[in-house]
Amino acid sequence: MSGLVNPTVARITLRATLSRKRALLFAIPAAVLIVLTLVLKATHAPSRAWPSHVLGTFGFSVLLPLTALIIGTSVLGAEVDDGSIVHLLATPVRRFSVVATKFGVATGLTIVFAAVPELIAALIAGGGSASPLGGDKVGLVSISTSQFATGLFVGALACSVIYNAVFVMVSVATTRAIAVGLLYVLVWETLLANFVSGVRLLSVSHYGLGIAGGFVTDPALQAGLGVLTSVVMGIIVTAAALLLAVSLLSSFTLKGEPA
Amino acid sequence: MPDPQAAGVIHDLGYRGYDGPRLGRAQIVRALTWHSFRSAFGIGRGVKGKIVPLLAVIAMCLPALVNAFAVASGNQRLFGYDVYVPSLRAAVVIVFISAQAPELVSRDLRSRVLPLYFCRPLRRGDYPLAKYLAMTAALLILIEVPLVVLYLGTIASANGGSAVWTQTRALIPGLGVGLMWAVLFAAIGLVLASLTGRRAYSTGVVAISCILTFFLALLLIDAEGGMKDATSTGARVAGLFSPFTILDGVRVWLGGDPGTGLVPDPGGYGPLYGVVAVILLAACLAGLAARYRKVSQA
Repeated sequence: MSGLVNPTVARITLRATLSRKRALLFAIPAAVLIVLTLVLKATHAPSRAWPSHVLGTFGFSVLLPLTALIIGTSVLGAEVDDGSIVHLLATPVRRFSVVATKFGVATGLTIVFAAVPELIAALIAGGGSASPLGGDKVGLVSISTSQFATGLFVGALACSVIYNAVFVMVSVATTRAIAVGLLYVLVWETLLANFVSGVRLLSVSHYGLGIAGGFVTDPALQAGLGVLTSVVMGIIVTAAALLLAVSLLSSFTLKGEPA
Repeated sequence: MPDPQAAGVIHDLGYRGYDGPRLGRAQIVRALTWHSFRSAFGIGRGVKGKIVPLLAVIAMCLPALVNAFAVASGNQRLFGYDVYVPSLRAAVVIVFISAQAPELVSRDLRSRVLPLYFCRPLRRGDYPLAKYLAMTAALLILIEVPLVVLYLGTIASANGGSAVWTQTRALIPGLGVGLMWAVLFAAIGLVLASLTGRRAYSTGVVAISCILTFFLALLLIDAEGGMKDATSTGARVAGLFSPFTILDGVRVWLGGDPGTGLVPDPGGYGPLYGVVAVILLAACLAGLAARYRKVSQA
């Protein structure tokens, strides 16, 4: 059982995460995004740059972080929560491999429930439209659908990876992973990162938008970072979060919750 | 010799009896409300239980403190009493209800203590009523305290009684808006959180439904022309998609300044916002009462 990914752990995690009505919870944000895109597509000409707003703002600061938050914190957090993690840790599976497997499953699920809907919505929306001065309707540069969709999809893939690394780490670090993650997503990612430009350097959704910006130049996406910065910072954050998760899980102690 | 007062109540487990006064239903509701109110702020819980409510209160009060310094150095008051800092207030309220509403209701479902509560002289509606009162009071503290800080920070540098009176007159509708927020969001948070006994998932349910609807409404307002260009019917009714924008619409309808909040002026649709807000509140409370009519499944 050497190697990075343990198939048994992966299978159990997948089954536990998708069981019962929970999968429905992950699917709601994606469904809302697609329905919203369909409705706006039916009622508006794509001249107001709404595809970029819907897919950029809603997709990258709401859909991706929320889906990743719910999935990323539940793959490991659910077992920490009910205490069954001890059974897993008692098996001769390396802690690194546990974290890597959980992270892999979470990333895969996030791609299915968030990045793919983002791609579908981008294809439906049919290309953003960039106006050089932002909001000005004169001089619209239309962007081809495929280019727009590819850019957003790759950005969303990158976001799925980075977010899940962060949230898996958070779920090992604290028993209130969802509450802490929520605070981070709302206050850091949606509020601060959009108002304080320095925060963007440490904001996952801006890494995603930066990477998307490498494929498609659309000022309405409001990518605050360059491609290279985004890629490098994304890799650093992912690696740091995973290493921290492994080291936290290595010295993991199960604490009884005070009543 | 069984006490005739205690008929129908399981108290006698064969241990040494208690024949002192029994405080009855009203006292149980009071105690449950007080206990729930304390746990909404993590009082009586471990350090970890205090992190989120404490951070929420600090984040909420920070702008008011900044305002005190700004006013002291000669500026005007930075934030309105009725809207405060709209996006921050919405974000903090979302975090607070999604972290603390499950704290109030999911734990009891998870550890299956509800049958123990209900074998006391407690009626079915009393338990959700106590939880609702506690959550409303907690939200009132969270929302109104920063407004009072804002007010005190402003009048501390005001000169003359008329300036103080102007501030007081502006504060009162602000407190009213805060009351609307507390009453509605306590109901929404509790009814969603009581759907499941797993705290992590009920947090997720509350958070996802609040955030999704909030951003949905903001995006629709934006796509329909935005805050400034609010003449289209679309922009005026787009706010109906989220409780935050509904309440802001009610605020504008009741005479608030349309340019400062979350939604454009609803114009003739103002009463619609009021009606929807009342219906939403009634639906949440009815759902909460219905949820606790039968508690066999956690």
